[in-house]
This record gives sequence, C-alpha cells and structure tokens, in this order.
Amino acid sequence: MIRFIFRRIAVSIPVIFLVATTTFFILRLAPGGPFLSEKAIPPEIQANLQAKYGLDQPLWVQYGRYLRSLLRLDLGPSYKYPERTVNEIIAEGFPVSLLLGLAALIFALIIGIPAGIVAAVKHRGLLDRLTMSVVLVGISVPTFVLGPLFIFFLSLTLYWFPPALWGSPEQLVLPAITLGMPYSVYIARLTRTEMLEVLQQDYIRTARAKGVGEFRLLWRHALNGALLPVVSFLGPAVADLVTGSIVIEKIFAIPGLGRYFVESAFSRDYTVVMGTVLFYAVLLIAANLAVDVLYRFLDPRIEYS
Amino acid sequence: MKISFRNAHSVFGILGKSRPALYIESQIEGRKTGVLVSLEAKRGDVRRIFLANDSKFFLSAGGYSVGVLFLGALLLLLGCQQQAAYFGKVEPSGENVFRFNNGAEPEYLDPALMVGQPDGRVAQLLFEGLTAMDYATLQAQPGVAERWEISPDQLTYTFHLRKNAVWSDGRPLTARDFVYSWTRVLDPKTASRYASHLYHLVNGEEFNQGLVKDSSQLGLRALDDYTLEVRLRESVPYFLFLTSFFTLYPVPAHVVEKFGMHWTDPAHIVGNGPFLLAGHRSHARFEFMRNPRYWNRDKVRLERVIAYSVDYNYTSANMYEAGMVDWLPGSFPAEYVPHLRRFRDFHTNAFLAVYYYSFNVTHPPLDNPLVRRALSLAVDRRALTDELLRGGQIPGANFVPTDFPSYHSPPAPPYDPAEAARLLAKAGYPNGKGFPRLEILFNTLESHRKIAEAIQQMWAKNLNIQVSLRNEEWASYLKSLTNLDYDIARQGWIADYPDPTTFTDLMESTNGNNHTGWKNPEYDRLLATARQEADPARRMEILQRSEALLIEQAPVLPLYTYASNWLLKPYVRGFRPNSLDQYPLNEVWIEKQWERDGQPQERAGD
Repeated sequence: MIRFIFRRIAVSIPVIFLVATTTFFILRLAPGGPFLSEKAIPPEIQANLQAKYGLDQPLWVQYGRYLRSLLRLDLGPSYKYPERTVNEIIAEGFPVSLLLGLAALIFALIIGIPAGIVAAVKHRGLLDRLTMSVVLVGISVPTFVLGPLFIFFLSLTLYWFPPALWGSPEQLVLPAITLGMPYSVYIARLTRTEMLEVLQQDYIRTARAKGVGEFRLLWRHALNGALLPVVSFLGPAVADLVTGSIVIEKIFAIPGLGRYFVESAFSRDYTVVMGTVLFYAVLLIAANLAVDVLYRFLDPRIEYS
Repeated sequence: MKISFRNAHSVFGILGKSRPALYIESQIEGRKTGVLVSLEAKRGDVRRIFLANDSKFFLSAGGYSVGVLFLGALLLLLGCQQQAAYFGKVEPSGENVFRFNNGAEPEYLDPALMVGQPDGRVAQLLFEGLTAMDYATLQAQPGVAERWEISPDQLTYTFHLRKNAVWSDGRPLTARDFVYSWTRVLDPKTASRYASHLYHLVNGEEFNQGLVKDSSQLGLRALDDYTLEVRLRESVPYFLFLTSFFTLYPVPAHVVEKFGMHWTDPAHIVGNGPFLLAGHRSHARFEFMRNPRYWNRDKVRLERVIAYSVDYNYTSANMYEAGMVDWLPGSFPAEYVPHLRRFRDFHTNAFLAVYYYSFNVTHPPLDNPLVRRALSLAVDRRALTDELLRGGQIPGANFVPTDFPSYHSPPAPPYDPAEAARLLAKAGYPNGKGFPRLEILFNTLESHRKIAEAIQQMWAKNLNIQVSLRNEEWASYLKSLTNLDYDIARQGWIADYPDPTTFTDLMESTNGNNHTGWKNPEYDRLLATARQEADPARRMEILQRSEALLIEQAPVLPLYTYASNWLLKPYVRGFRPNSLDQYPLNEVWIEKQWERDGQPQERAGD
C-alpha cells in the first residue's frame, strides 16, 4: 500500500514538470504581455518595467529561473498585482474555494445519493420518474442561470439569504447549492444506475432470501457496491469543486481561487496562470490517488500491486 | 397610489354589455396601471388584465374570489413597485460606516505605481497630496501644503507645508518626503507607469530615461523641512491639479525602504490621508478607519469606510438593491440605466472622456480626408446615444469634451448624410461604388458590438458601403491597435487632468497613444506654440484652433462624451457631482434622520 502510494507520487513528478513546461511556453505564444495598457506607456518606462520583472531576458533564461524557484516552491510575484506573490494569492483564495467546494460536495452527496437510491428502489415507479425528471432539469439548467434565479427569488424578493459576499454561514448557502446542484443530479443518476445493477446481483438475492430487512439490505449490502463509481467520479469532482468556479465566484462575489484561472490568462499574468495550473494539477493527482486508496476500503477484492 | 373604480365597459369597450366588469386604476407619478376584473367570472373563464403601458396578461384562474384576490395582490405589487422612489432597500447601516463597491480589485496600493481608477479611490482615502482638488470648481485647495507661490514665469512653485501634517505612525511629514517620493516615481528602477506626470520637472524625463543619473539635478528641492521648491521645464497650467493626483502623493520613506514591495500590506502601510487601512482581502473588500492623526480630522465624519471589490456588475447592482452598499460609482450594468432613471438615487453627469473611432490613415482610402469626413458625417450620433445606449452619454463630434472650463470648443459638423454622400463622391466613390470593404476593430464587449453594428448600418444606408466587424480580446486588440493592424478601431480616452491638452496631445505625431498613423506638422506646430504660451486665454485659443484642424482632417471620429452614472442611497450626504468622476469621501456623512427631512429628498450635492 505504502509502496503503491510512493510509486504513484514518483510517477507524478514528471507529469507536473511537463505541465509546467507546456504552460510556460504556450503562454508566451499569446500576443501581448502583462504590462499592456490602453494608455500607451513611453517605451522607456515599458523597458524599465520589463527589466524590473526580468521579462527582457531570453526565454530560456526566464524558463530556467522559473524552474529553479519552482523547486523552492516559490511561484513568484503576480504581474497584475505585484504587491502580492502567487503563493499568497493561492493561500488566500484556496481556503475559500475549499470551504465552498466541500459545502457544495456535501450538499451534492446528501441530495444525490438518497435520491438515487429512492429512484432505484422505486424503479419505474412515480418517485423514480419524478426524481429523474428533476435530475434532467438539474442537468440542463446551467449554474449561471440557476444562481441569478436563486438570488432573485431567495435574496431580492424574499430576503432570506444575502445575494453576495463571503464570511458568514448564511452567505454560504446559495453559492453552495448552486455549485453543488449539477453534481448532485449527476451523483443521483450514477447511484440509481449502479444501484439497479447491484440489486440484481446474486448476493443481494441470497441476503433477501435469508430474510434480511429491506433497510439493512440496502444500507449494509447494496450501497457499498453501488457507490464505487460515485467514488471514482468524486476524485476529479473534488479537485474541480475545491479549486473554485469563476461563474459562482462572480455571481456571488466570492474571493476564491476560481477567477484567477480565467482572469490571469486574459491579463497575461504569467506567474499566476502557471501557479494556478500547477496547483490544480497537483490537486487532481492527489484526489485521484485518494480515490484509488479509498477503493480498497469499499471493495476488498481490489489489490494493489 | 390612487385607486379608482370605473365601469370597465366605458374604459375599453371590449367586454360585451352582458359582462359587467370592474376597472381598477392606480396612478403614481403619471404612470398608470389598470386592472380589469370581470365580475361575472365562471370557472375557467379568462380574465384579462390590462396594463396601461400596453402589456397584457391573460389569466385563467379557478374561481371568482381567487381571481380577484390574485389581481388585487398583483395590483398592489405593481403599485408598490411604482411607488418606490429609490432602487432597492433604503436602510442606513446601524454604524457610522460608508460602504461602496469599488469595482475591480485594485492592482496596486502604492500610489507611485498605480494607474487604475479603483486604485485611485483607495489611495485617496489613505494619502493626501500637496494640494487637494475641489473637483466641482476645478480649483486647487490646500492639502499638505497650506499655501504656495508661483513665480511670474510660471516655472517655479514654492510650496509651504503645514506643520501639523504627519504620517499615520506619528512621524512628521516634511518636504524631504516629497523629494523622496517624486524621485522614486521618476527612478527607472521603480518603473512607474505614470512617471510621465513628472516629466514637467526640470530633468524629470531625462532622469526617468536614465540620461541623467544624479537625482540632485531634478527641479526638486527641500529648502527646509517645510518648504518645497519645484522647478518646471515649461509652464503647466494644470500643475496644481497634478499635485493632487495620486502619482504625486507622498509615500513614507522609512516604511518603503524597510519592507520593499510589501510595504503596502495592511500590517505595514503608513499613510497621511483621512483614513487608515484596517484590513484587505483581495477580490473581496478593503476596510478603512478614521485616521486620528490626520490634520483635518475634524472634517472627517465617517468612522469607517468599506470598499468592496466586486467586479461583476450584476452582483454589484444586487448588493445595492439589497442595501448592502451605499454607493455604486458606475459599477452596475449599463442596460439597467434606462430602468434606473426614474429612481431618485440615480445620478448622472457628463464626464471628461470621449468614445471615438480612429482611422488608420496608412490604409487607403482612409488616407483621404474627404473619405474620413464623409464617414464622420454619415454617423447619426444622437441615435447611438439616445436610442441605442440610453446611458446618459452626450453625442458629439468634438474630440475634446465640451465641459472644460474656459475652453470654447470649435463647431463640429452635424449629422448630414447628403453632404457625406457628396464628399464620398468627390473622393471618387459615387454612391459607394468601388469602395473597398473596410473593417471595424473593437475589443470584445457587447456595447462595443452594438455601436459597431449601428454604424455599419448607418454607413450602408447613407453611403452604400459595406464594412465588416472584427472583435478581439483585450491584449490582442491592443496589439493590433499599436501595430496599426486595422482599418477603423474603437477607442476611448479619459482625461488625465482637467485641461484640453489631455485630449489634443493624443494626436500629436510623436504621441505614443496616436494609433492612427496621422502626422500633421501644422497640428504639431500649434500644440508646440500653445505650450510656450503663458497667457491662458491665448493658449486656449490656440488649442481651439488645433481641435478645429483635427475636426477638419478627421483622423478620428468622435462619437460621444461618456456619462458617469452612479447610485447613491438618499441618506448619504456630502457628494458633489463633477466632470472628473472624482468623489472624495473626506467630508461625506450618513444622515440617519434622512426621512425626517421631508420628501421629496434633495438630490445629493444640490
């Protein structure tokens, strides 16, 4: 087990290196640079700026310097917000995105798994159809529609929740539900499909024949098997959720990490693009590793070699 | 709300005599809402509600009572909505705090490095320059300097600093701090983007370019702790404005030298303005507290200020509507403006900024002034502002916005499609025949697209020529612009200082912002003459002539002057509308008893 984990980490290092290198060079292919502005800056000042951040040096020198500082886990200063380092930006934004992502995940699981089980148990019944129609709607409505709808009805009409900002528990509710909704419906569908299959299995029939109660049957015998695909879906989903979503962050004015992925690319904030991409890559690798480890606990048949 | 009951038949004459109906009408501020209720309703009957503004609802409700109840509620709702004099909740926060949305996250807190407007609003709270501007009258008021003298040749300024101006950590603020700060702005290593604001100093430009290495050669000297002497290389009529601008704010040498780039962290930053930075979370909020050491602290009435950094305009408007912020300086969707106009907390005023199209005069047929003038005459600017944008913009073909004090704009030609067609024919393209297909470039934004499409249609209709549209994301657009890789491009310019030269200088052949390829020796000569002219009236006259030449040659096609639109809760006092879009918060206060003042409310600043 330990060896398995170590081997996976060892394999990840070249992957991360590859991500860093590709991102670095692709970024430099984009036109413009971080210090462009509509009001032209005299060429002398532009040159001073380039020199201050070492952007006047040959690309391979910049690349080498970047890799060296990466080894020290130093992601450098942001070009758009030079008074802050990329490390600070991630340290400030990630906890927010993490909390929001986890809240959304909990919402998605609490709604998704029971809904999936109910739909499977009442297969082809009214409840099944109802749940699956809601799921269909949930999948079709994008978050940028759902969010404003929630705000309009729950914030600006009923005044139940604040429409924006971050910091208090009630400010977490709407964004977490909006962010979690697509995941919850996906989980519901996944759970339902797997549950239907598991319920057909011989060991379930055996258990039922032995007189195991319906609830115990579902909870102890069927659920473990049915959740395996949900868990493998959760790996990338967690990495996705906790790194934030620019849509949710914009709509609800949340100071998370998600916006940096998009905005830094537009403002050619090289170091922030690199930093966030690498951070996401590491998270994704870690989440997938965690999923693989978790599998073993859910399904003892799986062995690591 | 006034409710009147009338016989519906007499109102609309649409329901037959056999069907008695009731018409309920409410009238608020001249707007009518009418509800027509059939009194003979049966199950499944269709009841019609008519709104006086021509919209119609068709309702199919169950029973009679349900219908009437529902309609009554709807009427009340509509009535309430119309009755609202203000947009959203009007409820001062319990504390003595002013909350506003500053828009985009400021890039810098260091006044020497910043360029953006949100950055400037933060700096204005934390720092103060030698002078402070009265933006409504455009007169310089004493700031850190309590008085100043100007030499007769307008080249030497002597500032006398007040002795009670101190840094927020208690250290005295002296003339040496200004020498340090301004030298720092000009230092090439600082790489300040607005260093050119100090190019007026003797040797300022040379020092910034590294041609003069010795900072003692600068026209800048502390005669003693409280006297600062500034020598300019040419007379600058707006220099006292520049001394109130953030680039020229003093910064604390002892803190900057100690913490380097991180001196602006809330834990380290030291300022000299009316407020102190109490906290900052990026992309969320800044929190400020009153500075007890500020020399003019008695005038500061707010205990705290909170500036949110919410850059999504829809969210920003939601926050205002929910009563979470007291002021939105423009940070709400432009398409809300027509709807917001009827609220008393909506304010609009022209501000010194121009929206224009540049012609790339190196691309034929745009090298021909006749073609450029024809294109300009064929644009109905009023239709753009009043029908398309409806955001309070002021249509005009003048490049220099018309609001400058003591500047008289030269006449600009009005919309004249016939004359435009005649000019185009004279240029060799009768009825657009043989005119190549040109392209309008703009950076990706819905409003830019709408304008480009409207102009595309106007030119097709008035001149029978076809143009295509090309949008690019910001950085690519800037690159195309600088490389003259376009035919016609959208541009905008906001005044840096309240003087016409902030616009006329743009089109000088050597100016880095002249992205048209247009070089006119006569125009350059006029600007150079104006620079040498010491008499203000004569100077303005020369500038007027230069703008007239610009209109005649038409390398640019000005479309309109921007409007600054803002929302301000009625309980906030001390705001003064002005054409520079600058609203210092030093003397702003919250009037908790605002409702007792009697309605209608005076508009803020009147």
